[in-house]
Amino acid sequence: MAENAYYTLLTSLPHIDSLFNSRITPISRFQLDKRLSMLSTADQQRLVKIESLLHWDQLDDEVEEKALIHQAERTRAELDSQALNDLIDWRLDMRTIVAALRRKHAGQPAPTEPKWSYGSRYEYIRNHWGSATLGLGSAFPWIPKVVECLRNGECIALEKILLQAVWDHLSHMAMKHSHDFEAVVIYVLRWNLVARWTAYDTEKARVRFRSLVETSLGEFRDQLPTGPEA
Amino acid sequence: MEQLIIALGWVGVFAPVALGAVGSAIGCSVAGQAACGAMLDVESGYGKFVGVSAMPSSQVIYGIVIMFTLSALGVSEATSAGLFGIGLLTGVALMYSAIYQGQAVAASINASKNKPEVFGLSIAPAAIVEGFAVFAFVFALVLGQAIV
Repeated sequence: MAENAYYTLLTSLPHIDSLFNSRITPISRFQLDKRLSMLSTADQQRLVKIESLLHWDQLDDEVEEKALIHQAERTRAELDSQALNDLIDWRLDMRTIVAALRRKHAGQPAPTEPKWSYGSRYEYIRNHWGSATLGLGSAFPWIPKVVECLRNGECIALEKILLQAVWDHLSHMAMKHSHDFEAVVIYVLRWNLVARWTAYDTEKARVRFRSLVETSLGEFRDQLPTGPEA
Repeated sequence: MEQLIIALGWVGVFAPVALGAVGSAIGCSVAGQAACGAMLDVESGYGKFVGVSAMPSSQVIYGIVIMFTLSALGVSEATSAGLFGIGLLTGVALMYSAIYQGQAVAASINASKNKPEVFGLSIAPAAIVEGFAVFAFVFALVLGQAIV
């Protein structure tokens, strides 16, 4: 379709009301991809790169950190939109912060390698390792809550705080972009958040956890207790 | 020099139509694209989307009326400067109002697609933009009478 199909595309997409109240995604991935085919080839390629960078489920089980950092830098350099670059930086900074907080919680020291993560603040974080909020409490107001959740072992609350922070950031950004490529990216990222939240399933998680434990135990797997309480 | 002044006079006479047509084309295109997109997402109510997407076409109609009014004054060395000033600026005003009205209509379609009960209210911003085009139209007619 034409280069500027944003008006048609964005009005063809159903509104995403809320994150945690959603029970299903407002549109299936199949239908979403069909609608996204209205974009030009270049825009589609840019969107795929952004999605593959920002979503863990696009990654393989075996992830090499250096390759991931390199991929992030390459994707960022290829985008000609300051708003998208800022969004990617913010999102990757968030990951770096959460990774740093987890490492701190596990009692690990500051990383020794200068380029230990991606985003725009990894060096700053390394230099402020001693601070409880990594010196970023005002820029990322959700950090104290994350620290609290890590301390108390509240995994679900932690996940909700992080999802809500991303949702709020995307909602804030959406106010400045209504009918452009950035608006399309924001919609897809919000759709991914809803898809992720609505896909959470206790039973599937239990099966997956058990499968991972069995794989780790290898030949000792038969010694695992059986039954629903296991 | 005289011919240049006369040429500018004709530019002023035709500018409201030409620029109004450019603006209406862009505005209707933007609103029409939004209407087409909305049709993919809703099961009914297509007519109101198509109808409202034609809103930015009024600017070219205003341009046509202004063109006939200005041309009726006659293009001469004495009137050309006035025709050029009023015609060109009115054309620019009509063009921009049509473009931005198209964007306002697109936003209205997007809002009313998700919430049909706000359809009437969501057209208000586009109607306000229309008001500005009407200002330019009416005062071009009024001021045009002062040229001769």
